Amino acid sequence: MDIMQKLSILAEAAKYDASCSSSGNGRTSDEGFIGAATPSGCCHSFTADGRCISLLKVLMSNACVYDCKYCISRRSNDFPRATFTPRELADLTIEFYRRNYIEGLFLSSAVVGTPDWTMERMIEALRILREEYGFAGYIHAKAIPGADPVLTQRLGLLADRVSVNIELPSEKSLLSLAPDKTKHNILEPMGLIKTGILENREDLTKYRHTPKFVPAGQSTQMIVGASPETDYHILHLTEKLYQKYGLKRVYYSAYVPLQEDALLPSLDTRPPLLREHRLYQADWLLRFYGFEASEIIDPKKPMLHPEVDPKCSWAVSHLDEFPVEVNTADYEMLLRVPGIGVKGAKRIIRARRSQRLDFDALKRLGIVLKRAKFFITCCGKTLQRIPETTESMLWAITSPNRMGGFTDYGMEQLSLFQPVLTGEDVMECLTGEF
Amino acid sequence: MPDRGILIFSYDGSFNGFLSAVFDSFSMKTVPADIVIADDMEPSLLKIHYVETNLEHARRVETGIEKKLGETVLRMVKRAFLFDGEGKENAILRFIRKAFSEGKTTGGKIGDEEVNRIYKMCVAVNNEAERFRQFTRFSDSNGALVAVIHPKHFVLPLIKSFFCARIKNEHFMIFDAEHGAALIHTSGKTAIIPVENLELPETEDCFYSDLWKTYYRRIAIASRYNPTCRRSHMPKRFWQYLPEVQEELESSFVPKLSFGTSAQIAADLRQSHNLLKGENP
Repeated sequence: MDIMQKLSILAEAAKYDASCSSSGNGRTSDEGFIGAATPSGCCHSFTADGRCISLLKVLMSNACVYDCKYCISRRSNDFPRATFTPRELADLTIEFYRRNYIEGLFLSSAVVGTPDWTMERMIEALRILREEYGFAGYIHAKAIPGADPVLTQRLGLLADRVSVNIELPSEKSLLSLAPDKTKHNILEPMGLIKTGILENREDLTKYRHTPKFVPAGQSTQMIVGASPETDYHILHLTEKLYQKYGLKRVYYSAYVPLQEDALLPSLDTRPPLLREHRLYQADWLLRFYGFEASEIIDPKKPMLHPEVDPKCSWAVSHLDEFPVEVNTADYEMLLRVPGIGVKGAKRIIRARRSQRLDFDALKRLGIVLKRAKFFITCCGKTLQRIPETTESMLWAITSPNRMGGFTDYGMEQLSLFQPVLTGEDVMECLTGEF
Repeated sequence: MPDRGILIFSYDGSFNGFLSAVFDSFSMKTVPADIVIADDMEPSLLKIHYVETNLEHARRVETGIEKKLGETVLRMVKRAFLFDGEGKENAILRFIRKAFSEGKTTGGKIGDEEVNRIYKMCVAVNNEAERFRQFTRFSDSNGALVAVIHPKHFVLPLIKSFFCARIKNEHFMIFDAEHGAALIHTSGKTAIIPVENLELPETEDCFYSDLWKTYYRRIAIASRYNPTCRRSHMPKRFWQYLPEVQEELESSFVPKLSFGTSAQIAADLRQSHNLLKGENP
């Protein structure tokens, strides 16, 4: 089998991994012969589905001994199999890298033989890259659940980021859909990496030349829509992962049906892209906007609002906190205004140090007032009358491009047809930040 | 009150030339109606003052800005000068004059109209530079790496450190065809030099670009096909540099997805899946 066929099969098998970021660690070119990394990362291309390509994302092998029901590489699936040699993979990475196609390598693998053997092959590929070729670009590697802790440790010293996929958000679903994986198996390497990072941080303060262990932190991924967990469950789990395991990111992957199985959604189910999008928005609120999961979602309505984003949803149910005066509000409160993001809030803070801001100045700063106008005042003035109740506010915010009624949320819209989200609406929702 | 509107400044287009023009504007106590590059000048009825590029004057203006107005203002001036668009020199001159009269805080007044203009120019330049860090592609020509770009603004000085850090042991060249300049890096030395015309050899670097194209096709998930999202992250004007989208650019390949009944969707998905895989439906 030539390298073209291998790449073809092993990229195809890796594509359902959502993560492709190259951020979180800076490496200078002095560390090797080729390559560097910037903390903010860099996307070098975008696939036809709009996802970023920053790293060469492939599996080491897809010849899996496991039989997880949702997975394309499951043992019982009739699918072509291939395995890279460590050298082939290292050469391919370097050649792509020098043409500026990628920022580095994202290496995952199916379990070939035993978890230990799989990890050893992956480590060998990374060793060739780092030690023989002096590659100082970004490497994200998947730790294989069930492998020896010594191997996880070794992997962490070669890679910038290490991740272990949670896959399914509860033990029950894991048991029914991924019978070869256990919660313990997944959380164990995660805990190991966490302690490794903490110890390494301590060592680094003592000895300057300590090799860095997983400097860009660890991440994980959950499949959304293959099992019955609610957004409430997923968001609280996410919050715990950030707090308990110090994760840098949690990725969500809308389930794409690939196999027929009585336990899984049917094959013609469309991937729940809107739900995934809302979860990412909520995740952003947890990480950058100072929200807690309990503020975003409550157990009585365990799914996120399909029509408005989670921040808007929080704002309309806390109207007593608004309107906010942009000239005096603190940064944390500005971030809670729908329509003002991290960039916008920072620009406002910078600009208002030397002048009072009016609505024209806000527009000049690039603040989009479409929704923000209902929640802010400038020098005590509002741009238009502000609705007073949650219902009228929701109506005002969503009326320019309504997608249907609020049937699930206690408000009935007069309509001849069952209100549904159309495909175009979903697309529109998804053209924003991914 | 300076005498406005009777003069046009003409300078050589260099940053030092522009700083000399700023010097002249202050020493002559006048704000010109426009500052233009000598080569691009159209015949005009207005009086023309030919600015002579004077390195000593330029240094005086630069240190003056740095000392009196701070690093932020100097950085904004330098960044905005890389902007390519009409009236940029005049806008920057006005910004400098405003800063001298209002002091160090001027750089922060990004809500103010005149300052905002400079701020937006800086943002545009920075964004363009980031795009070319992302979408510049090299092809290997006998071991040397070559790329041609057509940026809106003069971004070579801003992308220099990115590429020098990444491929420091390679010989590479990035040719900015729009501004007639090239970034050349060879045996550890880097320079940006003016290049009028460049005959580039036809490169035969298909092996890895074909692998890359295959990778690109395989990594997309057909049932998530979302061309709007891709275009907003990777606008079409950059596609000319990207081997992975050449075929789509040339054949106007459109795997269309409708959102009808589930049977239709399944059929569409299969079709677009085949298209993404590069096979005929």
